[in-house]
Amino acid sequence: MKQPEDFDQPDELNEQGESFAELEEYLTHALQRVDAPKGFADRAMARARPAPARAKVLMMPSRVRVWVSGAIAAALLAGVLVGDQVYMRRQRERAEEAQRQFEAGMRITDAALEHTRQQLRRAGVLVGD
Amino acid sequence: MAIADDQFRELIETHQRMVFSIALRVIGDYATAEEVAQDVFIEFYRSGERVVSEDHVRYWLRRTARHRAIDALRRRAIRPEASAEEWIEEQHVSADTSAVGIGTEARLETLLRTLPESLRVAIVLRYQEEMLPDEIAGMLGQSVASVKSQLHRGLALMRRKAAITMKEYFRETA
Repeated sequence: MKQPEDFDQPDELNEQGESFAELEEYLTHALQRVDAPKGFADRAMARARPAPARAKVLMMPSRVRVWVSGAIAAALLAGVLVGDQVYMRRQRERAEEAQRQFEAGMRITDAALEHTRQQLRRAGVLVGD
Repeated sequence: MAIADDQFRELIETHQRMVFSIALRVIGDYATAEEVAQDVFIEFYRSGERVVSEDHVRYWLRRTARHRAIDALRRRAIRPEASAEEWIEEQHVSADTSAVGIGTEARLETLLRTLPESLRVAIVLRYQEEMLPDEIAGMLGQSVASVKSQLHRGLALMRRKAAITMKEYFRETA
């Protein structure tokens, strides 16, 4: 295929009267094709084939990954906050119930004492005041 | 896909030397050349390009290899020819190209890597791929005169460097 005379003619490449024949000969030998690295075809084939289906699950786009991670974190945070609120409300309700029971007990005790005092007074016994 | 797996493997095995050699000589780096050469074949596989004829495949692979190799050079800012233009006017010697003990072919490859990108591509296509100037012009989208000029400038530059760094092999004929 190669025909050095195609571009080595005096009126074309050698306008300055230079001859490249010697250099061309060296270049033709020097620039022989070289072997591709061992296993080149296997590596190229492996890269050309699409990835296995299960790998696609892992190949979630980074934007989606960020959104999913954010949503999970937000759900966990909301769960913790709601749980905390429920616990606080139950504690408050228990305290209010205990207060009501205590006040009822006090009222009953006061009434019983007053009743006893009146009976003693009718009997002519003066207690306290 | 326009090409079956077994057909694709055969195509790689047939043309891997050509594609890898173009990439290697344009880029000058073995690992990058392999990566680029693989990219070329994968691009062919995924493009759905049909194997019309052997000439068509060879033309497509050569053209794409040249494009991708130049892309890689620019992406990685590899510029082995950075100071090569100075040789045209000044004729001074670079120390690393005058090393002794390397074979003539290795020295010529070293000189090739110091050529500006466009001259290097023309030389590789002409002397490695043995393409005629009009074939190179068709592939590069340039005129035949422009390709011949690039070949002439490339050879002149190489010989000028070789005359200094490889005196035992070349004589400079003015």
